[in-house]
Amino acid sequence: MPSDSSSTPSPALPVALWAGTLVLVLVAFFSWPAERFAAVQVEGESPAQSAAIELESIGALEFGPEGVLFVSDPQGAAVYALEVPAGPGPRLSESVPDLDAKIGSLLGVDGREIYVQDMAVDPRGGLVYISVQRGDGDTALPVLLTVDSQGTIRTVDLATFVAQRLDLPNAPRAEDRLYEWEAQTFTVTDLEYVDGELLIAGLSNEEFASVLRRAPYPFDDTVVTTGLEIFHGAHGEWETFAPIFSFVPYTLDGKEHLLAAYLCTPLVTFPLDEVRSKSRLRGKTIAELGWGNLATDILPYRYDDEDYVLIVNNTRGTIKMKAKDIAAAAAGQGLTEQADTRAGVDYHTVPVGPVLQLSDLDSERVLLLGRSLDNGSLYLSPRPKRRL
Amino acid sequence: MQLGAKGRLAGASDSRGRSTAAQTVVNGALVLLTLLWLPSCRPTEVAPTLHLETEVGAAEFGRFEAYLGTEVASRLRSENLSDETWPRYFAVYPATSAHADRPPMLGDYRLLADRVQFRPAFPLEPGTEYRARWSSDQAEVESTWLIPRPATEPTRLDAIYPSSSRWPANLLRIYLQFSASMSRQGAVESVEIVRQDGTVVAAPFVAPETSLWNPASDRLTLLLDPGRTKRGVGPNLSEGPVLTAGERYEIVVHSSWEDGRGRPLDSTVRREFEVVGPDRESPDPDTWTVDFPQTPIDPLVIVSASPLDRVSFEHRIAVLDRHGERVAGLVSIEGLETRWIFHPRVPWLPGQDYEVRVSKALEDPSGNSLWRRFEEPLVYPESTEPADQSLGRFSVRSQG
Repeated sequence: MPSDSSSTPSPALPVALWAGTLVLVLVAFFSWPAERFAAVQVEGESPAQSAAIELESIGALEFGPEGVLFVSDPQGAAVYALEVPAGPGPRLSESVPDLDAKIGSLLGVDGREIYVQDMAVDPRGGLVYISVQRGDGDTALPVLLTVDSQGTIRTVDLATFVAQRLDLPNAPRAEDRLYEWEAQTFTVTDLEYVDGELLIAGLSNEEFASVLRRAPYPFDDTVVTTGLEIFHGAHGEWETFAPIFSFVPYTLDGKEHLLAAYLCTPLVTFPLDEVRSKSRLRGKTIAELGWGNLATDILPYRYDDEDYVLIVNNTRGTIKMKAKDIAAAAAGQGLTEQADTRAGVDYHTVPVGPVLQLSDLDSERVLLLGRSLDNGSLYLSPRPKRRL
Repeated sequence: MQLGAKGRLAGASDSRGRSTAAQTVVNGALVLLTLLWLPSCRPTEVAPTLHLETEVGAAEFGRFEAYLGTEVASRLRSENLSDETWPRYFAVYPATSAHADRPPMLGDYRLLADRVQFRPAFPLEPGTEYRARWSSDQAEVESTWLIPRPATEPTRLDAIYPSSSRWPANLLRIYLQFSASMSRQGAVESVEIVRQDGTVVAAPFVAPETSLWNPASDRLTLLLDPGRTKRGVGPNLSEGPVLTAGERYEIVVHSSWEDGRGRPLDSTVRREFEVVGPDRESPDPDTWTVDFPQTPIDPLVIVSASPLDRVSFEHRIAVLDRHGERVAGLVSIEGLETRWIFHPRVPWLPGQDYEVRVSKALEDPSGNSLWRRFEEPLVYPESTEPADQSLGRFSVRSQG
């Protein structure tokens, strides 16, 4: 412990030196860029730098600009951005059955020990990326895999990549860092890249709040948060602040929005410019998809000159909405009446069986990662959009 | 199965077709004859023997070996096989991977003078059986090995929070604290809330598969479906809340849940609780009692009239020194999550000012924070509101 005298300035220090220091401090203060002061929501030091990839776990995947693949590490509280080579050739055309057993065989475990976390399709060449956890408990390992157009599965050797790393500080606000936030887990549930920015949604084990984290890409040292609140399924008087589980950038009336699914399961829209300019924002609830449910994936797609949105639910099937119905609901007041299991934008369930992940494959097809009703195994299957 | 240093795991050999013991002798004789009388011909292959070599005490870092003899090894050397082409002769699979379309395990092959080694790219998984297969025109042999699980004490469920036997009807969070790391899967099947009549509450938790585990994987946060606790929301209307005030329930954590080493818990744990009315108010620090230390070795004790969230209570109160830095120390939570007791790592410095602060993020078991209630009337909290507040300052006198 330093003694008190060590931090007391010597009385012999010339007054002129103090005055000079004061001038320098004032000059530095006023010449500092104004935006430094404006960034009140900055979560904190998050030094992004080129780093070797050391995953503690693997979760959500998302393609960014020109071959940049974002890979989340929920346990390591980090997101990596790596530039992946363009996969050549045609896109997957045949189904790949028994995907979990094949992956397990490659990685040396039973197929039941393969836990698929996310899937992303490289928009350039159609190479399919799948994040899996191999095994469970103390021996669990994160693995990134690719599936090419022939259905051949390969592991991605992450040691050969140098990536940008973004650390996700746990404390939602800078001043909260006085407290012990290190023990908090922030589980990334979805990533989306929009116009130079990576948006990150997740769940915290200690704070039940809806905080969307935003980080400019290429990563610098900032993570900014926006509290996104909702008027939950019309309980008239009350609002709540459940977390967003999955979301997607979505254009409404020519303006960029976020279409977000909250826990159990309101579907909500937010104007993106307000997400960026405000620290707290209330969204508009346009549908209720039902209790006891999670929307694990949202996929807007276009087919035959009409726009649609597919939503993968973990307990209530995969549903399809017409974009024009979403637009009509978003133009209105949102849900304000008491809602039961289902309310708002009309939708129907598509005949695809249990789906874990969904991606756009090309203009004619989506790619399903589903579970077989015959034997419970996982499969990968391109499906024509006309049959959805 | 015992493993010594550089131990060999006994393999269950299943040599088929041309590799029975009798034929091995015959083949051996043939090799001898061939070598003696027909030196220009290709040597006839003897069925290799397969082994799993393991590192000291760690079966998961093993390498599979096929002893071929120098003749065959030398012939194979001329084929310049790669990691991708070796599996046509020598391949290793998880034993359950029996189909022809399953790819063999990834790894590196190394051809030595008399044998080929395969080192898997991923560690072998305890509890998993592996099958190595040698296959060529002249010999086919395979062996299997089961990788043993390490012998450890069974993991226990140490605590269920809230500790109180009276839970609010709008409870948001339950914590399960285990004695060691757990499997991150299985919560859905392993935790039940049972009514007094024996019926099980359907789907009480939201997204239990989302792994709200702490980094050490020994504490799970379970969220009671918030859609069912909010007033006037769909789930609440159709299914009713998870917990009904005035009723008694039992939370059951089944022993079938596997720990981090794949072993079941030591026992099934049941705990009864009674549900009381919902808690819809924010905790109010102004009503807490703060017992400031008087001497350098006294603890700092804060007492809340009502229980707070176990983990939030532990982490969202800080003692700051005169530089505004957090004072290191040990926090214990007692009194059914109503008492926060702090022992500084080094004794308080006499005469020095300390301050106790609480974060507005601190929550009660129903998710009401100091910042705002779980269900809030339609107003925005001022975003300029400070993120924390002071619970007071203190300094201690010298001991004696």
